[in-house]
Amino acid sequence: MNMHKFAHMSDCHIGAWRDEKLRELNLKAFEKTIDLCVEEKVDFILVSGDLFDTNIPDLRQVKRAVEKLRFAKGNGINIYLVYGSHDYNPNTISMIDVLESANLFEKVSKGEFKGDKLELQFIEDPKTGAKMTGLHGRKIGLEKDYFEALDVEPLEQEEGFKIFLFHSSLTEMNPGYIPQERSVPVSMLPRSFNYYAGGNIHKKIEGKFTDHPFVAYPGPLFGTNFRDLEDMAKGERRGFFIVEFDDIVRNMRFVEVNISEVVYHVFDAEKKTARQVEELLVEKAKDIDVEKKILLFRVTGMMSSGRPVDIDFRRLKEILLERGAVYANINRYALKSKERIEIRVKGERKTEIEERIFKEKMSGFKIDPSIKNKKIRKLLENRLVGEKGIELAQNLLDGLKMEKREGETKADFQARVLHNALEVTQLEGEE
Amino acid sequence: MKVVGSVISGKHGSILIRQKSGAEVELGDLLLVKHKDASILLQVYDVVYGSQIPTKHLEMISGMKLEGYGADLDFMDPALRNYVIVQVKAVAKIEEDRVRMPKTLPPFMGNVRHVSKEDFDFLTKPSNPVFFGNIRSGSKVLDVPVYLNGLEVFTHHILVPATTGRGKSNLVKVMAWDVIDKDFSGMLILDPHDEYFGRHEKGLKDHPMSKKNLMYYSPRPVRGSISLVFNLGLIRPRHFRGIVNFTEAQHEALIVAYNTHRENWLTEIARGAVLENVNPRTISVLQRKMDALLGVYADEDGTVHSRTGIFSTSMGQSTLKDILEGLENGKKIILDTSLFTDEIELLIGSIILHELLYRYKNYKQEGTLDSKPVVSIVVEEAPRVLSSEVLTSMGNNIYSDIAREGRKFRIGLVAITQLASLIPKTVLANMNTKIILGNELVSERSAIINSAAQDLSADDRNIASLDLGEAIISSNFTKFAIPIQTPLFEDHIKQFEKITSKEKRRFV
Amino acid sequence: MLPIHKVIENLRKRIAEMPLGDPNFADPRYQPIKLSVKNFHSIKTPHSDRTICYVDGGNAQIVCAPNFIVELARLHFCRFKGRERIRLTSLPQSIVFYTVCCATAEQGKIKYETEFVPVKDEWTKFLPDIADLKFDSFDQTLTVGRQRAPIDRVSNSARTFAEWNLARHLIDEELEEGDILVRDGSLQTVVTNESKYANRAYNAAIRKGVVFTGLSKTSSLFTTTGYPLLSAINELAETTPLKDGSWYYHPIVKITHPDHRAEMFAVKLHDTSEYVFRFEILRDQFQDMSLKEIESVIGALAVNARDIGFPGYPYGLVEADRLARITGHERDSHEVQFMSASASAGIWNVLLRHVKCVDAHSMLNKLAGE
Repeated sequence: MNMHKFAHMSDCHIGAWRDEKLRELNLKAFEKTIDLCVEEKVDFILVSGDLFDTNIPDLRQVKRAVEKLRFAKGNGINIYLVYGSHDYNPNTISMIDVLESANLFEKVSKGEFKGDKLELQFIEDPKTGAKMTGLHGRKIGLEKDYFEALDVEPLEQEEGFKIFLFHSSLTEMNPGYIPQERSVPVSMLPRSFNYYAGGNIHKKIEGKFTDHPFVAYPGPLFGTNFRDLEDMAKGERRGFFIVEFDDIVRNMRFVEVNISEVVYHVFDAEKKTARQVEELLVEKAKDIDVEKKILLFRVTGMMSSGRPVDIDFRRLKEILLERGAVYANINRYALKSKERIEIRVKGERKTEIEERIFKEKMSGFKIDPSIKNKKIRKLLENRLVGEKGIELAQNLLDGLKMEKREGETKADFQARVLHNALEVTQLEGEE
Repeated sequence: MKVVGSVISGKHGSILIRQKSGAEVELGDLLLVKHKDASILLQVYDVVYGSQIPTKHLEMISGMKLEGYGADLDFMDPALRNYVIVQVKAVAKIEEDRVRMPKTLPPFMGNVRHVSKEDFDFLTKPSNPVFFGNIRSGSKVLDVPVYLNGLEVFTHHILVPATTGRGKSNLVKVMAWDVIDKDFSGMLILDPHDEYFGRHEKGLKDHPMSKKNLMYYSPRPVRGSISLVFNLGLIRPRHFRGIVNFTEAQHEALIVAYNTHRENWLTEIARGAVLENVNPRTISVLQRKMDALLGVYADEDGTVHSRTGIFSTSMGQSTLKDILEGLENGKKIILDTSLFTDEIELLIGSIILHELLYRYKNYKQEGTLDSKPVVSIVVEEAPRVLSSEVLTSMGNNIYSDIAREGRKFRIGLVAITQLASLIPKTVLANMNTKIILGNELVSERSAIINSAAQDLSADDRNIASLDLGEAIISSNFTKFAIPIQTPLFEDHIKQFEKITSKEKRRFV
Repeated sequence: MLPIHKVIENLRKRIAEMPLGDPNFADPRYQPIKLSVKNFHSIKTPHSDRTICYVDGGNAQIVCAPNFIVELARLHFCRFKGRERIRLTSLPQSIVFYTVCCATAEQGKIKYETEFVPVKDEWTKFLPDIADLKFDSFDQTLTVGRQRAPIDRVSNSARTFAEWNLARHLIDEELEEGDILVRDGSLQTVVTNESKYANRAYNAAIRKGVVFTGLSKTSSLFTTTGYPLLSAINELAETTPLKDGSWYYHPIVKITHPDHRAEMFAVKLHDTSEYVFRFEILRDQFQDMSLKEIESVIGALAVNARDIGFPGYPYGLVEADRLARITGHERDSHEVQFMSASASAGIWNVLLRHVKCVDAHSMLNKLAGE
């Protein structure tokens, strides 16, 4: 039998990072990955979600991504993907849809509900005959419902080399920071597939289970937040999988994509004055090798005197950048002073914090009893209550985070934001 | 009021009632007799023959009948001369506004009747109710459900003693079913027979709220359930305490390994790592022990593998956290340990319980414990961790710790056993609720009776004759030892229908 | 040969090998009829059940001295129709009373006088007239040998008179025509004035049409050879085809004694019974009864004699006896009450001195551990 090869990547999050340099590094990681795939002469590429960081990312980023995708396509490499939880919005068109219509890649999660059961269809790669299907991700693990409704029997009985793409955290492979209720047990995956291409978990994890022999998360190519970067500093590898197969998987290897080294230091400010802490940080900043590296400092502890604002963190950053660091971040979230106890919200990632706050605020939400109109009540219930309400709030917030584009007038930007908000809430056109 | 007898003699704790002819009074029956403005609830613990005719004469008469003498002879006034004497004890005095222990005798020649549903109007549903069954009078079941305050009974431990086939699992299943949708309590069920979830038959999975509130871990998961896999990095040396025997040297080696390598200590032992001040022979023994116990070994390249798939270096990182958070959120968690050895099953329980107790101790320190659900741990064959022999030879373990002090931290055991006599009296005494099912063994009944919350000294025969599903709840939280019948699980759950959504769904 | 064997040999010669003989009565007003196998008749089951009323009494000494006696007595009756007890009665089924007899001196003679204290005042009407229970202490119907009659013979007689009186009330107020009354014992009266009460009862029975009968558990009648009469009849029955069945034997004797207005029978009321009882029907009624009626009465009795506890003895009499009996426990309880009451009244010490004249025997019994 002929041996074939595919690449499996996920969580590229093109467009992530507020900082331009980090955003650029992230994109570079993607570009390098595609180059490596072409070098490896893979037959096709799988992207298990979150190709982009938002459903409508910055167009400059999109342009470069498209160029690379075309490069791959031009080399005879088909690309198959599923939506992730970030690059998709159920209420509106996303960039993924636009690019699919331009034949840059193909979404594999196609199906429909027949009664209570969700029936998925396979897509066959013409070059290798590999069959693919899968489920896309949704915010806060809402795709779990799809797994539960999945009609697995026809999928399991399908013959041939099969790949299942998904963008969900599997409970058994959860690295620990994803809430259990948002994860999906491995048993929910249809059995008898040759490879399960996972996304959403930002760590490289391989799993073998009795009925699911190859389950893989490649992790992001670079990372989308400081925790990802901290993990890299601690040894977490970034890259993608190359899988060789004929009628079964024959070989699987991880290809690293090293864009930049990350250095991570933790400073203990316990019982030190603000001045002492600053001196410590400056000393370290001047001492360590920072050339072309990403620097992450974390300062923790309760200072004996002074406040965090008494420490010149800006100067510290400047020192590091002057010395050649690509990027420097000083996390002082856990730095406390006796003079001010900050109110903490549990959760480290911004999105987690947002989710938790929304959950907290919306958990008690009730429709005003003075609203008597049944149609309106039903509408509000469907949109605002429970998990749906939380998803809506997040989508709305994401929409409101969008930045003004170059050349865009203030009026146009406002209109665009408003239009997006109305689309998210599906209120436009409602009576 | 259908009279079934009248009080004729006896003493407190042993009252004699002459049964009316034609009335049916059974062992375990609940009877009622009026006393001024109150009613006294009586329970039958023995029935004996009574006769106006001396026994020798009766033997002769019987012989005549058997041997065919005097075919037309029979007893005249049979109901007056031959009868049944029912031995009862007074279990409660029901007054208008309260129920108390009876301290006086019922009225002499007082008329006695069977109880009816209305007599139990004083049994109000407590807060945080947990259903155990319906009131049973003899073999008759009344339409009076028995609820106990779950917060109290779970925190103060429950013992379920019974010989095999008397309905222990059914009872615990019915109880677990009732609390699935109640978030005042989390529950962890160590299931060595894989009988709670309902893999091939009806089980807890059929509860309408199971999707949200039930988690099922199994090494052979069915669709929807979670593979039971623990990351090796979650295990600590203290988790082996009282479960696995180590010599002092071995134990010290474990501590050194952990202090040196932290989360990687077990993988390093599997690799045969060199440890300061630790004899390499000790490491070698520990390597073999971990292989035998956990199925963990290192290959030639130093890569650590797991033979069983239960312990992993890469997967299962969030298993412990998920379980603990699930319990803290009032979820019910079943661990299918049917394919494990006892040691593995108990070790897994130990891992979870150590961390759970640690968390709850912290909550207590912080002052937030009262807002947390009580957590109940269902352990089958409890003597494996609670027997005198085990505690003496292996020392205390987390289960015995919880039995002793878990109450202070809102963690309790539901200990199921066929051999309650093996559990030390001090532990039995801490188990403030005993749901006693049938037991033929005298020594077992004796152990149960001696540690019961109420005086069950007269109930020996009663307990011996308990049929499938019949039980007696003896608890510090009940006014009297309540006889119940737990419905068959499969029948009980028919009234709870799963709600299926009729909404048309869209794949977006 | 051991002494006991000599005793046995003695009895064998003198008792065991005795011929049956014929009924023997000392009084010429009793004309015995020779024993004959022809006089055995099978007892037939009657077509319908008749109501039978059984009466019996019991008494026990509470305290006894030569000059006074206090007894507790109880009379009891019960009614049966065949095997079934009739529960409802209009008269009280049990009548309890104290009998107090005292010796008094009258014109140099010692007389015994009786008073009754019923437990309920309304029961007084069932009790005999105390004037009829005043006896000379040497009344021959009470004495044993030549000695003064012991005072308890009076109290016993008081109970017997009360039984006759109750029987009359039962016939008048409880029973109906065709019913049968059975007293425990024969219809023979013995004590002075007793026949007055018996006759009242008989007259009531004749008037109402209630058949008056009596069944004796024991009999000391003899035959001409010194054989117990009932035993002789029983042995004679063994030679007849009826030996394995139930039967009655009649006639035994023709009685013309005014104090014994009875027609006598011997009855074996059940096949398996080992007992033959003396049964009597009021002669005045017997004379007007057909054979069918007589057999109906005996048959009714036989139906009631099928209790497995004591086959051949009417269950009604078992019950009447049981419920009339004063148990030792009851007696002791009343004795204590008496002692307490008399002590409170300040007379116990006086009474005790009298009691001590006759209770030395019970002291010896106590010392012997009995």
